[in-house]
Amino acid sequence: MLLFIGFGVLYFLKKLAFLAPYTGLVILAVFLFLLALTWIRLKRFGSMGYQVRHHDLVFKDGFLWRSEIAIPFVRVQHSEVTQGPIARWMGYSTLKLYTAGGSQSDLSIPALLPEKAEKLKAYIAQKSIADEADI
Amino acid sequence: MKQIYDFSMPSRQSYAAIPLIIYKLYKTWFKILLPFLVATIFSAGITTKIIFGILLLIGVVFGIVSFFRYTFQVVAEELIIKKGVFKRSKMVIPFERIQSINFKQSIIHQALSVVELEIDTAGSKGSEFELYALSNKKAESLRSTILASKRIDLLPKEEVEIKTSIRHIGEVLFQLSFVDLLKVGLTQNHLKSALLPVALLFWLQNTLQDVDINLEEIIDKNIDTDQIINSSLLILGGFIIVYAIFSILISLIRSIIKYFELKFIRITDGFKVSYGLFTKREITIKDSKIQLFHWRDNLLRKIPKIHSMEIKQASSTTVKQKGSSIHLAGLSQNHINVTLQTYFKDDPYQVKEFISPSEWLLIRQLVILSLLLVAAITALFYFPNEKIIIAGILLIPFLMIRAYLFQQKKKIGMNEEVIHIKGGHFANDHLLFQTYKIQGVAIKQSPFQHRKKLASIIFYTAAGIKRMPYLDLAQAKSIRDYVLMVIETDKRDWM
Repeated sequence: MLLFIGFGVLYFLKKLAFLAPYTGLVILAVFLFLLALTWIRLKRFGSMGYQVRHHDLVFKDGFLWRSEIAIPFVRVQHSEVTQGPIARWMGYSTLKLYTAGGSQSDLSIPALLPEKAEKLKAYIAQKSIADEADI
Repeated sequence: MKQIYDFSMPSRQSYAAIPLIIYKLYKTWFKILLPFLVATIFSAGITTKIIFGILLLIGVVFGIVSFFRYTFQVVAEELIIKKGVFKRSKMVIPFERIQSINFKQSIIHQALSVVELEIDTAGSKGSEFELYALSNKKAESLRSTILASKRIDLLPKEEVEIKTSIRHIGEVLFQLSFVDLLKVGLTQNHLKSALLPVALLFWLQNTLQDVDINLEEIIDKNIDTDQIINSSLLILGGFIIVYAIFSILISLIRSIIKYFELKFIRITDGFKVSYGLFTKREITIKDSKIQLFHWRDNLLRKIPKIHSMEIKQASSTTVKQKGSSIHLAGLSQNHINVTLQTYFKDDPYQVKEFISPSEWLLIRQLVILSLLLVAAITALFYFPNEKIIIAGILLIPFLMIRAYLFQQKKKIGMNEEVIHIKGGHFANDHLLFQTYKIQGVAIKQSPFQHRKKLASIIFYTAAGIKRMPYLDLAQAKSIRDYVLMVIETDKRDWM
């Protein structure tokens, strides 16, 4: 797999060899592209948010392509708090909610403080059972 | 079908399981050893022959041992299976975890008059397991044991249901005659399956043409280009005709083999379907596990007015499991209505009002397609001989019609019980699911939709993701809120 990608990249670069005289321009374009990506990322982060309501959790994401997904507590199968190496270094956790609706409906709320993530997880677990008993 | 068999003691499968286990074992070995076999087929020395002999013998011994080590029993609403030759294992499956019990009968099974049982559980991947061979009666009895005891914990609900139930238990709702089979086979979507080879041919021809042009340059344009084009068109035409005949024949044979003697039966709390010529399959699906009804016709099926229908179960894994849903073909509209009436106990499935997506859906697609058309026509001036561009120009009006039909047909309607999404381009497509079985709802907006205050609504069900595009944002939100309200207040279990 990696080998294929490597070959692909090499092939691609060879095709682009004619750009060699304009190396400076190319670097500038790539730089601008990355800058734009970063800007969109930051914007996206700004529009991200979650809301704990009475019987469900709503998670909002996206700046260009927006989405707002709502998962009722009674449909949460299980939840977990995860932490990748970088997140651990920076001291953040991700809360993941799993439903039976397939991987696309699984909700993950990134960049939560670990205590908060744990608290939220416990709250959802408790609400999930309580709501089930209620109705 | 009373309890003739006592499952409370550990019992073994039918002795017919031994050859079947060995057969399965050989089949897997054969796949692994295939390269080795091919390599040694011509130069097999006496030692290799001995090794193979020993291997075959080991297979027999292994099959027999694993047969005697494989026992199953029923204890207090749980199915207990013990198995394993080297590593013994014990599986305990509570009845309520059992999703479905399906029967499968290959030719070998039929000859030995046994059935294979596939038991699907609601757990994760690999949690389904098989009983290789049980005698017909025993299998039937085991299934009714499992289904019967499941009914006990559903009893209060059952009482209400019996009153309004309009179909009798064991009633055949639908079966396919041979003529129906022919209809189903003849009306497969041949066009769709023809697209791939035609595209392939087109590509091949294009590449050849490139080579020809190069050759021409070398031999100073001795070949008449018109002739090449003419002959290649002839080849294309011939190919399409041959392919059409071939495709119709294949799908005819396939549907006869697959749906032979199809019978769709109402059973307690569920449906049962059996079909198959060589391999007989019997699939049961319980009402509570049903997540979604999906039925559709196609251009050809509009003539005899038949539909295919899929009844989808919750699938625990994203990978589609075989037998996790019921496939039916050759149903009339009346058959569909009867099925739905039986499931819904009356007609709460009938939705009166439907809403269409915003016209922006069509307008946007038409604008994009027109721009493409303009671009393609401009490109044609620069490269007048590129066939791919001509094909593209011809394709665009088709895509426009398709977009128009989509806009016309896409509709969503709901009532207190269900959500019904209509769709399709040339075919008519219907999705029907109960609102309270939805797992989650999302509202999504592209930058364009955001500007126009439109949104798509997405329903995550346990049987897949269903969407309705380009609704008014306020409308989408009110649908979302209503769905959430239903999920959060409906007392019924989603599965």
